[in-house]
Amino acid sequence: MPGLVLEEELADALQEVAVKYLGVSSAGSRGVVRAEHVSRDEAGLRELLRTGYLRAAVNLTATLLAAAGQGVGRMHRPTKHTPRSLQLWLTRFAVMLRIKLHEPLLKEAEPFGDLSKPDMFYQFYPEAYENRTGSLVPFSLRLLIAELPGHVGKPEEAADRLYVMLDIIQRFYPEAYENRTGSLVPFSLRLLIAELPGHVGKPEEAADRLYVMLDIIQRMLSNLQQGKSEDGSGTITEPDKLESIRLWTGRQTRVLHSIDYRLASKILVSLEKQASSPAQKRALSSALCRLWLLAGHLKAAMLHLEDARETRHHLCPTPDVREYVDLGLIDIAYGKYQDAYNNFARAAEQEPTNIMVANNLSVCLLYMGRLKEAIAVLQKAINSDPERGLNESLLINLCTLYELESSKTNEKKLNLLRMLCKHKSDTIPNVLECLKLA
Amino acid sequence: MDTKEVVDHLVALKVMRLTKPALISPKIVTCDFKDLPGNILNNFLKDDATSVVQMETLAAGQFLLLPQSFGNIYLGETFSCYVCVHNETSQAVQSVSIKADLQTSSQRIPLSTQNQSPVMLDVDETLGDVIHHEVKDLGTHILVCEVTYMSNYNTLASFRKFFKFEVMKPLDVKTKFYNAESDDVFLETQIQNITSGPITLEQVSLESSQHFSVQSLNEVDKDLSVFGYVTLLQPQESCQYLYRLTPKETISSETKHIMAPKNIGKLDIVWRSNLGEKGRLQTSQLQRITPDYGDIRLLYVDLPSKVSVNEPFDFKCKIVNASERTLDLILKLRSLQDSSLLWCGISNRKLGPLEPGGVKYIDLTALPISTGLHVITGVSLVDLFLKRTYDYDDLASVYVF
Repeated sequence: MPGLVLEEELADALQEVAVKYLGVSSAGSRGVVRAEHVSRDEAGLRELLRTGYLRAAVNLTATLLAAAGQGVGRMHRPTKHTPRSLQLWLTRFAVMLRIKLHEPLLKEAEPFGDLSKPDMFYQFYPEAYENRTGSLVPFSLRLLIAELPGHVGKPEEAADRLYVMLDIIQRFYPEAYENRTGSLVPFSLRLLIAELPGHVGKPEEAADRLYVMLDIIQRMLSNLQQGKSEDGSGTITEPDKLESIRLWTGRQTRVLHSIDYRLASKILVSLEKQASSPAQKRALSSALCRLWLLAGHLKAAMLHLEDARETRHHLCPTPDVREYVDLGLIDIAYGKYQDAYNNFARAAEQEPTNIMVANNLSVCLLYMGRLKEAIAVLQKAINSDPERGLNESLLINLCTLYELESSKTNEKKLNLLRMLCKHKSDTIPNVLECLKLA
Repeated sequence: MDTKEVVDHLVALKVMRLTKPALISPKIVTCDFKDLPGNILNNFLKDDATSVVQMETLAAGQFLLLPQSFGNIYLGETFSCYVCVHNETSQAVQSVSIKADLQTSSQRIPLSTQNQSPVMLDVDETLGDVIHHEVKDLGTHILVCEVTYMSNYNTLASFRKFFKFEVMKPLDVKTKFYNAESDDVFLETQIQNITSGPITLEQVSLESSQHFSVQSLNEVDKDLSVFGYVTLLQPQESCQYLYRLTPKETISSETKHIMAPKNIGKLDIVWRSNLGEKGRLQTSQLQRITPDYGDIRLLYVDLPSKVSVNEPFDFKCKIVNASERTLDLILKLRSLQDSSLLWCGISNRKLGPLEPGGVKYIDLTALPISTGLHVITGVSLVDLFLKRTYDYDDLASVYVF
């Protein structure tokens, strides 16, 4: 019984800022036109997403949901769910989360509760789905809704909610988890519930549960690779097999999405041991290195970098960009900015257009007392690849440097705004904050 | 640190605190490929300059983000900042120089900058420097920056800017002492993280005073800490370290000194937080409450831990005069009624005069008559001058089998 809460149409955020600071003429009329020219259906929605008109996409989900009887004012009124309506909600929520519309998102997600109400199941609509059983809810929607409180800093609340869900699942659907035709619910739930103790200060408990889950995923994957269904009971066709393997491998990776250092480190180490390819193993060692850097555990970071380096030898004989960057990050941790600079510079030699490398070079230059050069490096990066260079975080860095350099920064920031208008659609959630425009 | 505009001067001063940059990742929102958005959101993630290739859903990025706020500063950390003077005019400005001082509640510390001599700043040029200072005081600090330049009237003009910040306490260190019979001292120390973020304790060591040699009891193997691989402390968490201090030979032989050394040593703690931001604290000299032995100390030496029943065993008793006068003592050995140990040898032995600080070893023999763990009882010393009796009934046990 969900309904829309966000009533007003969302304006193109970049457009709004451009009109305010550059005037109507130079701002043009971007997103509005775009939104009017796509078809009012899923294809149009995908088009808006693909071209980055995210707010227009949110608006279109509102139109489509209203047409499906779940529009404004429909909250707590009886409605029918369909796989389609739930996909629309998923799309809407995913985009809202991306552009950080947390407040209305929380309100609109609220009527979904724990996604286990009777009308969330195929059995509730016998006339439409006959004998089909299981949940209508897409995995991604469950994951998103369950993670929500985490995004707004309320892990405890998520905990309560998820424990209730776990109880229901265990009472009614003990077999669901192994049931391929049934719901995909248990995977995401298990993941979230497994992570919970980590959020409330019991990382060991969470780690244990995650191990169990990873073990199950591993078993499913090995069943699939032998041409059986996930639970090992029946056989499946080759395309199904490949698709399922892809699905579960992806989900396995998603389990890594954890914040607590100790917990994350344990999971990463276990995955590193199970890694199927040198490339994967190496990526995990490298991630572990940075995880410990963030936590200030430099010895551990160095050890993992050593591991990563050893695995890298199986891939290529000489250090690559990732390795040089990790080395540079360790130098920064030790306060050796000149060494860090040298490492980033070596990475830049290999990939002169790599935005991340240019950004890190620039940060280094600032700490070395070379502000002007730091600014030049970032400006060059943006000019050489505006699509990728006009990145939220890079803009924040550049405007931070502008503000340190001089008290007359407005014209430089407006230049960036002009570039944004030229090269980007409506993907940056907070243009004003990125550009530090007053 | 400050965004106030300076309008009246030809140059502008900006200051930014340089804490370690952050490593950031994009906002991770994904869908299954069969969902409505398909791979579009996943591709956004892939194209994001801040995500790591082939590890997009893992929040462990390589992209550095500059500090966006002043943040907290803790005692023992290094305060670093970028001081920048910019020529705001359309012509060159002569003789520009910066001077920075740090004012604490007790002193004013000049912070060295490389560029001491005045320079000329051309149009849109900057004069900048990174300054560092290890913070050694708690409480309010004021960074005072003074910029001097040649004004349009060929006179020296200058202005000052003040940046105020509070230095906070990063760790809460609690200590506890145990004085063992053997003259060893055990130090238990609890270190609590009272900063607002997680920290890693890189090094915790006890530098003992000259009276002791120290042994750390915090490693299981040579290198592996008892806390395992990870010595990470979340905010408010604490962990406990244990040290054993043994009095150095020359000192323990002189009784007077046994009571004297109150000074144990100093704890040296090095920690790191976000991306290796380092802090270091040394405690003041830790002082124990020395045990009060009274006039006489009695210790058992060479006492076996287990002995066979019905077979006499030998050990020694060490008597130390811890008083200021010469003692005349008698050793009494009584086999108490319910005791399982019977004393062999002479009771009421006169030990002869014992100088202040003097030590005497007496051989003792006892016969255990039943099995079990038995406390050694029935030893007393009588001070003939004061006519006082000292009982030693609870000093040691022996296991009889």
